[in-house]
Amino acid sequence: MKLFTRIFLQVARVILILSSTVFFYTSYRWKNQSIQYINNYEYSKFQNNLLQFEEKLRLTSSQSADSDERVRNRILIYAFRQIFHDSAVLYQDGKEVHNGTTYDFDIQGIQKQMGNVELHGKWYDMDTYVYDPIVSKIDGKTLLLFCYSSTESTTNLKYQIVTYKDISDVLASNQILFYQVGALTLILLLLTGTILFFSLRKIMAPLTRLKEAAVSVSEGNYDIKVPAEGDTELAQVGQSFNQMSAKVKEQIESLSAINQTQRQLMGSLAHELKTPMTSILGYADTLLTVRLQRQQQERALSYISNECRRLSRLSVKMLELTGLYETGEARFAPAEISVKAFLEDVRQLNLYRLKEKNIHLEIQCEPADLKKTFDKDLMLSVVNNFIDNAAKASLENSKIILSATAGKLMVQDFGKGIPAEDLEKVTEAFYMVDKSRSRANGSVGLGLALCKKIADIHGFQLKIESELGEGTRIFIEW
Amino acid sequence: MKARILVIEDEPAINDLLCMNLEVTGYETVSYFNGNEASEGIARDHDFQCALVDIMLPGKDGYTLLPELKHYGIPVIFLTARADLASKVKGLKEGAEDYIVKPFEMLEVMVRLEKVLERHGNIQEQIQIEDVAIDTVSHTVTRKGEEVYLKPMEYNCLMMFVRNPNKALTREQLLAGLWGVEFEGETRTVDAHVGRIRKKLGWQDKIKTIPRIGYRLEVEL
Repeated sequence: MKLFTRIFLQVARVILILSSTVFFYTSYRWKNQSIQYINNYEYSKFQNNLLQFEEKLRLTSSQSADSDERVRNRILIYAFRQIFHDSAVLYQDGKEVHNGTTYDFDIQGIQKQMGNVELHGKWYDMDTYVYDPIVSKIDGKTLLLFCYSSTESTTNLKYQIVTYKDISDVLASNQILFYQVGALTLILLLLTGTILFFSLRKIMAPLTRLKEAAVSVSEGNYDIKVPAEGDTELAQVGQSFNQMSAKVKEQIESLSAINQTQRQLMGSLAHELKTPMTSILGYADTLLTVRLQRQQQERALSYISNECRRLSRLSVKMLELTGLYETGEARFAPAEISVKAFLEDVRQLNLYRLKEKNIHLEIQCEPADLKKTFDKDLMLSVVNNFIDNAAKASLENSKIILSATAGKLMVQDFGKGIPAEDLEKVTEAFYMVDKSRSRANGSVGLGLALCKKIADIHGFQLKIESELGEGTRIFIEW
Repeated sequence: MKARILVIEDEPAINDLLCMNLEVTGYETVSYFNGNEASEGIARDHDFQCALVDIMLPGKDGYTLLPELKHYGIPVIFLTARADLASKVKGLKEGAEDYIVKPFEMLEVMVRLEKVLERHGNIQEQIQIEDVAIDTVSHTVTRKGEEVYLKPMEYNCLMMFVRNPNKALTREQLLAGLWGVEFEGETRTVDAHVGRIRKKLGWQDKIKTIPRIGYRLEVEL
């Protein structure tokens, strides 16, 4: 939310500054402009009146050039009243002669102001010959003042005329307009702010959801998806995020699957250790404490030795299996190998073992020049395991067929077979169909689990078909 | 009369271990390695005072054998590698007398077996070892017809030897058996008691000192 607040405040500030600048500038310009217009209009009217007045004065003064001053004054006032009616004040030598208005003006002050025109600045860029307006506040009214001082040359009369225009109404309506525009600006500002707030929130919403999703991923919920439609940067981030969480989920799942199998293996191992441990411990204790005959002592010792051997076999197989789980494909080095030569190697390795039971190993390779890509050592151990199992299941003087085609590698025996209900489980670690017999044969129940793991590494399938009493076909689909 | 114990356990090593120890202590044993064989066997011969039965057996498993054994009034002690509570509860609920988890110590099996025999009144009340006779009901010991006075602790100590003949008992085992596990006594106390028993019964040769281990009552059974 911090980013949201910052963007919002920044934009709101900029809008506020800009709009208030525009507002104050325009309202100021407007006010002055209207005063200026009135000023121009009134001034030209004043000038017109002045010209008429001058004209009249000249006329009358030429008629009565020699009349005395009092008469001239009267004529002056008469002319003044005719032209200006009651809207102006006439002064002579700084003294009020006639005042038709309801105001009293300070003529000296006004003249002084007029003399200091430049004091009012040059704000008005209108090309005008008019004096800058003199604004005066009298009796709560705002007046625009105009003043004229006659020079001696035009007439021989020296007089001043001051007229005014009441602009209070204009200013008041200006004031109202100012407030209205101000209020409008404020409303616009609020509206913009609200729109900004909501649109920003909408834009930021994916970010908030991204944050929530990240939190839930960190809590272990990898199924969460963030919306990633569109081509904005946020949508791209969303896509990447979804990709990431899917990948993490995949990784975690594969890790926990490995962990699971390892744990199962550990559990089975611990269970599998119990029996030999009980025997070893029991016999050792018995030897230590019980008075046994020599024959019994020997039996106890041979049990201890056998059980220890079993433990060591178990540990070797376990190491092999956990090694396969841990290094995974690291140790895996496949190469293209001639299958026929490979099968011959298998025969050489099993020659002695099969001779014990006088079992004939028949090798078939179809086609003869078949080549396959696999890790020779690992596959050798798989096929040896198969043949080992087949030999254990077979009777004396029987045969085992080892055959390879483009589709599969198969070991077939004609021994006792595997019961249907056990077929599924024989590849599980420590699973033995006939426990006591298998142990007597020296197996620990890890062989096929190992084979299955090796097949998995190659991407091959391990399958078993068996008929009780008829024999077993175990094969790898490669 | 020796008590007859049935041992049903598929692992030959453990089966033999149990039989060896039981026979040395004066029991008669019959062993089976398979649930089906055991089931057939007890149909023919079912005069047993107790049965030690493994739960995971080829053929009929321990739980299946339990009702058959109970039918002939044979108390059952289960032996198993499964230490989870559920299978313990199942075993005991269905009427097993006791439940021993592998790996076990032989002494534990012996003690539990004795307790079961005791509960079912199958323990010998009169024990005769050469010229010494022990009456376990009245707690009296006579030697050549004359009563030998033993203090209660000495009597208990003697009984531990008599119950585990031909087996060495460590000083710690004797201490724990006589005074309880919590008792932190001197192992010398054990030596003193054994010394007195030897003197009172004239068993200087019978109770042998086994170096670094403890004592063993050696008798021909």
